[in-house]
Amino acid sequence: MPKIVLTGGPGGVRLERAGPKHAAALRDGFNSGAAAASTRWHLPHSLSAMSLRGQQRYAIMRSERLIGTCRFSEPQYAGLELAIVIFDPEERGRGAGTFAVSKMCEIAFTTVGTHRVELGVYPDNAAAIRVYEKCGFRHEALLRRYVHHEGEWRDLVWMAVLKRDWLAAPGGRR
Amino acid sequence: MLPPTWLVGKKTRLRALEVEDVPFFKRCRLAIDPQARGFVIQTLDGTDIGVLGLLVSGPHAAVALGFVDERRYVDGSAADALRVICNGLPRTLPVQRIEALVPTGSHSVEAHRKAGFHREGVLREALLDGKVYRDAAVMSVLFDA
Repeated sequence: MPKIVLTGGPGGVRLERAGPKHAAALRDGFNSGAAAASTRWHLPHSLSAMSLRGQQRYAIMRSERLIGTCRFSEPQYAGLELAIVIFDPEERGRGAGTFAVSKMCEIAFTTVGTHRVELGVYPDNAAAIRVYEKCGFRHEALLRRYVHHEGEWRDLVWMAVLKRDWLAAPGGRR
Repeated sequence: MLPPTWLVGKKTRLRALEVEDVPFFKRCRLAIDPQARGFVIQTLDGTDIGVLGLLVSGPHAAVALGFVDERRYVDGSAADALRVICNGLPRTLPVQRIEALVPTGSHSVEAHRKAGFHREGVLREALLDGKVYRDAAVMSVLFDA
């Protein structure tokens, strides 16, 4: 697999195309529980499930430490769906998420060539919504009782950014 | 042979889509997921007037409509076919949400509203119409599963 690294994040944060060397840290991050309250992943991940074959997954790195991950998947509605999680709570609010989302949009619109990137976020995750808004995402819908999470049906805010808006942003978003 | 009673409404009834219905399906200008179930919407006297695609994924279902004659969206046929699905599906499967993507500004939005769908927002450029992406209202109806 070609080594893909996107640098320039705050404090040296960078994106790397995830590969076997990231698998154990990804598994531990998903299984730590630190991300469970704000993500749609529920079941423990195995190392083999993190083999990453066929996934467009990226590792969010600070120095040699994996602090989160993001990936594209088939969209719920149209374009590409983006999912991101910062595993370490102490890394949240320090710009890594904004950097990663911005770079993923750049990949989606300039490399993949999609016209739309969409994602779902819990309504009470104000910090994540702010990150997405900074990257050009707009609130499009409140999907009612969309996700079953920790024993209850929860609504989901659906957000998206369009290529034409992203390209037209003052100074670009890159 | 008549369809099960739960597939019969006040103005329309639904029957399963057969291979020979594919040309009719195309006339109704509806593209659906290959995993979806297809139905032909008939008047109660057995005239084929439209098609309905239904995709069930666990507790969620998505529905899409197409008609040969767009006036079916305003004469009550579309709303009736949607009511047939909304009344019957939760009695058959543990579905707790049925949603639809509906072109904004179309008569279909009102037909869904009449059938009990709530408009949750507008997804920009989410529906491919030929070679052009159009905005779509996402509409849903909820059930206790």
